[in-house]
Amino acid sequence: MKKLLLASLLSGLVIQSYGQTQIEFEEYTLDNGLHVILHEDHSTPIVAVTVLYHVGSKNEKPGRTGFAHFFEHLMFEGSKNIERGEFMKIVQSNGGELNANTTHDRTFYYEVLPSNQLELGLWLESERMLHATVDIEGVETQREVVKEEKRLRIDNQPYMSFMQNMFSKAYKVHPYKNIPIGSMEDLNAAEIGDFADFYNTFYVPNNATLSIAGDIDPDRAKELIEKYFGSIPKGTKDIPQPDVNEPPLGGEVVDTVYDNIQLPAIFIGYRMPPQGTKDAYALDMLTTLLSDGQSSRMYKSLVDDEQLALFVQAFPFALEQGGLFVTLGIANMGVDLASFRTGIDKQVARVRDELITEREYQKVLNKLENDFIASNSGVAGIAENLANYHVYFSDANLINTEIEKYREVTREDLQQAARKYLVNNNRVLLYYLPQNQ
Amino acid sequence: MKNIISLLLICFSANVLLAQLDRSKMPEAGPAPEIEFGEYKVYELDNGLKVIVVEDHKLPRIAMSLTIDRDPIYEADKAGYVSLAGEMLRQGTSNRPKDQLDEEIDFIGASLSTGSSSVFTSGLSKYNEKLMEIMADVVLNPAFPVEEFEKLKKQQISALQTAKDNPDQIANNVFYSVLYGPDHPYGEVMTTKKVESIQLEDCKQFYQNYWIPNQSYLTIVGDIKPKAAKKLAKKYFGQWKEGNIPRNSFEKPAVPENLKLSFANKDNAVQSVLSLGNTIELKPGDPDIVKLALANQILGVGSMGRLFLNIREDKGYTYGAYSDYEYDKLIGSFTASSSVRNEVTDSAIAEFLYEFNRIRTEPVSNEELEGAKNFIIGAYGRSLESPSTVASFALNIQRYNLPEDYYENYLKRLQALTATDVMEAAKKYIKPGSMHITVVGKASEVADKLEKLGPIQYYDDEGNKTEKPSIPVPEGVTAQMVINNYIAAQGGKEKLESIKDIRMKMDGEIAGTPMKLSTEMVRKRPNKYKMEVTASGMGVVQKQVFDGTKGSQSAMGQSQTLEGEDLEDMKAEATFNKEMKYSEMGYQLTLDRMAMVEGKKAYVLEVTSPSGNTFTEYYDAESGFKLKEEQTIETPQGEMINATSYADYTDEDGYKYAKSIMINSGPQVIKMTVTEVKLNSGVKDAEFAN
Repeated sequence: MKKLLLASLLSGLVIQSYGQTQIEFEEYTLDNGLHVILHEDHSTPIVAVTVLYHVGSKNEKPGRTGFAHFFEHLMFEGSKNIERGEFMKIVQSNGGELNANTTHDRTFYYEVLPSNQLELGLWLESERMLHATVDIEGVETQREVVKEEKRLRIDNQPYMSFMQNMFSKAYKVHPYKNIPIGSMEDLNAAEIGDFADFYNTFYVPNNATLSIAGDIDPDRAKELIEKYFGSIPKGTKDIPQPDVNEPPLGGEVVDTVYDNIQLPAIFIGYRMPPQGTKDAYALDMLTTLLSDGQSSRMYKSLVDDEQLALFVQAFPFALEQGGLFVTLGIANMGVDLASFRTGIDKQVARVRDELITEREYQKVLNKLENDFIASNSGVAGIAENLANYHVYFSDANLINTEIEKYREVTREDLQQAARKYLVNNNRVLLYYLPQNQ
Repeated sequence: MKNIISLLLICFSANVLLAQLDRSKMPEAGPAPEIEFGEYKVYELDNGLKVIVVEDHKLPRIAMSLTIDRDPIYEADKAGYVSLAGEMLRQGTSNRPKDQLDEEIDFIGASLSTGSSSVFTSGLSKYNEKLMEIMADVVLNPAFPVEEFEKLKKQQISALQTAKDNPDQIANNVFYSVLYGPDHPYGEVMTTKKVESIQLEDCKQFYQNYWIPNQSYLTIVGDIKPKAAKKLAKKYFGQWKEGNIPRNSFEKPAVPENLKLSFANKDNAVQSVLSLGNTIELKPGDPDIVKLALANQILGVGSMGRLFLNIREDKGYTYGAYSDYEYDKLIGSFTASSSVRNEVTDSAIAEFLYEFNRIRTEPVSNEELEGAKNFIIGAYGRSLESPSTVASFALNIQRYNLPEDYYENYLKRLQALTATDVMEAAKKYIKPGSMHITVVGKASEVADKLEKLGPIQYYDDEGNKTEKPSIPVPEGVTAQMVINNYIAAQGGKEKLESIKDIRMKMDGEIAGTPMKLSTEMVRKRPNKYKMEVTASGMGVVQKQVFDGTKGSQSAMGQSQTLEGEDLEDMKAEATFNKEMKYSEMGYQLTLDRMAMVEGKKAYVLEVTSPSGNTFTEYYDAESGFKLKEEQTIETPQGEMINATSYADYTDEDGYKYAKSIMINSGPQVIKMTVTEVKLNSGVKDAEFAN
């Protein structure tokens, strides 16, 4: 990198390209199977300590939906050496922040701490992995918290039931038919043995990635990692991942949902191939073309020119074993939903029927390059990206190279992907209407 | 050689492993790292524009923002034109119609947004010059297209309409309006009517007067050399013409003498939105800021704050309760807020006030003090990861004339603070005795309990004063019907007239005191009356007697003969079944609304005596019973409401009377329970001798 810099200075061609894009890291695996990734960066005296468990809602047994997300909550209850309710307090009163999140595919925990508290972060995460408190009292407490979260984030949020409605119609067999928040009935029905079994199956070092980024001395970090994680026993159970052959959707699924909303809306989900495939990259690029920025196709035509919509968006809900290409729009007051749907369909048809222009293609790549670089602007983001790339693609270095995957997709590939996936018999169409109509 | 080294390494790490790991002990922190605040350069262009550059080559990105450091503006009957003007800047320039502007920004993967006093843009550093050129075009040559203006105005109006029912929005309108006053730039409320009257010319005028380089700062952050940044700034912003800096001054908002309660009614609310606060005099750079920051951290920041721990974790009234403060050149504020369940609205306010008083009068614990310091220092450290934090620090140092080492010293000063410092800052800036409290909620369920705290002023959702909300009386119901229902509920006219005398004994207590009271009340037809209150260990503390013509009252040994109006009032009070006699005695009755009393729908009767005294009486619409009597009296401290509530109506030989009586007299609450009732026991006239 230094050489490159020197060369460009000497040549005097560009004065701006100082920026370092290469993210250096090292990785190794402990004897118990825990994968470790370290990224050293001394620019700010903080460190992100993160653990990714390769378990999400797709690993849940039938009748036990919501388990993965529920565990995300339960894992803050405490451990053998951390009293109930103290986990968050310890982090905050030592100058750190923490949180966690759960998707269909994985659960991710992080603390960002002052760098002199690296050992504290490792202790906390190792306690969680070795002997977290999984007891009835914690389960009862967190059940209420999760219900409150569901009420706040989903039930009381206009349109937010779309995820459950969409996935349950797009998938018939695959556990993607459920979403991470799951069902409260299932959580109520679960017994303590179910929770213990889930913990012993999935919360084991051989199903986890410890990704650390920030102001660390890697040698010292490795010693401490060995100290706190080396003795955690490897899991003894099989770690099941779904092996399901989801048949094609076999025809358009249309439904209407009555929700507590003011303005009607349309949600469309096309089934997608697994993330990381060329077609998935192509579909990702098409969402950028359709709705990213005020000059994007859907924004320009539906919001700005025709004023059919208050808001439109297309985004890839990309997952390990599939996913959905979602387009959605909230209609303006008084707009007829049929003409609104025609407006959206017209834009989707255009990408099937015509090659996108060279300029648009370049615009999409420029936007993705900007997003790609921006996603590595903090140690927490870097640690998470490294862990994701390792777990999903066994290639943490995609943090530096994934943009090439997009560049390999040609304009013709974009059209091919649209023709293959963005077709009516591969989609779920949901109309959202105000309850009182 | 290499082998030996690796052998040594293995031995070394083996030692580490052999060292016993005691998991039960939380690891000790290493030595605290130095937090470095980053460097920046400042240049000033000939037209007065200050350029701040923070060089950071970690990523090939750049972010630029322009800040107009203008005085606040009072927008009066066109409130909204300033923010609309900010949005108009993004709608195209004289060189680039909006479509072209959008396309050029999107093409390089960048973003650009505008506000009433700022423009922000970011993108990849390979497009540094392009970004600067577009930004300057937006700032210097806005086109103000009329069709986009109409579109934005419509959007603003529909946004206001959508937010009309939003209790948080209503809370903001009312709270800031009472806190700063409706004639203050921080207190004025944007309404659809005001937005409708905005003209494009208003926006243009604002832009021409205020968007001048000599009160502006351009901050440039990221992958660029300061000199190159300066050169670009000069090239693109050098032509910007300086102007006269407009100055606006405003009166300081009035500080209330007591707690001031404001209420906005929302009939279908299941939660009350509470806002509490007072204005503070705290300007940028004030040495007290760090102290108040620490006090506020302990009181009301996040899940470790006392408000959260008390009101959410301990009481379960809400999902969150927080406090905040703001320093400001004009006038600052201390505020706190929460959304709580209807039935605990008054209790939640009491807990807020309790916590405000506690932090003002008791030193915080060492654990709280250290935890809060670590939290603040940690957040500082994390925020410095973003070079834009360094830029905002630099901007503050420039615009507020702070010392260069202000932010470095801030953490040092924080470290040195003690529990006493926290208490003093709390005492100085948190003023529970003269706070504004606003409640947005269901008045019929919530308001009467709040009246104990003081008089309530009602507001509509745009912050205009209104009357207490009322429920209309069903068609055909008259005041006399309400009285007749009450008589029927008590046992009927015939039954009541068969009672010649009543002797009633009651036990009572004064809330918050250990004092036990016992009361005896004797009545005899037509209007003889006696009441004696005895307190445990003190004998008779209060006595009222009326023999039909003469009356007297005594309290704590002081006796007084009643005369004039007082005597007339006593005469009326002593009248047997006085409600039956209202018309006979010349009382005026008005029934024009209903209200909720303890969850019951009640008719509200305004009763005016011949001498001009007015009472408000509440009768249960369903059972007919009287639920409450109220009288507003003037005191040296202002108006006060005396209220007597009746409940638990009980049957004694066909006569129904209230077994529980509660008297609210200002801050004092007396609860009484009837223990004995004797009817027609042959009470002698001698009992009523004065």
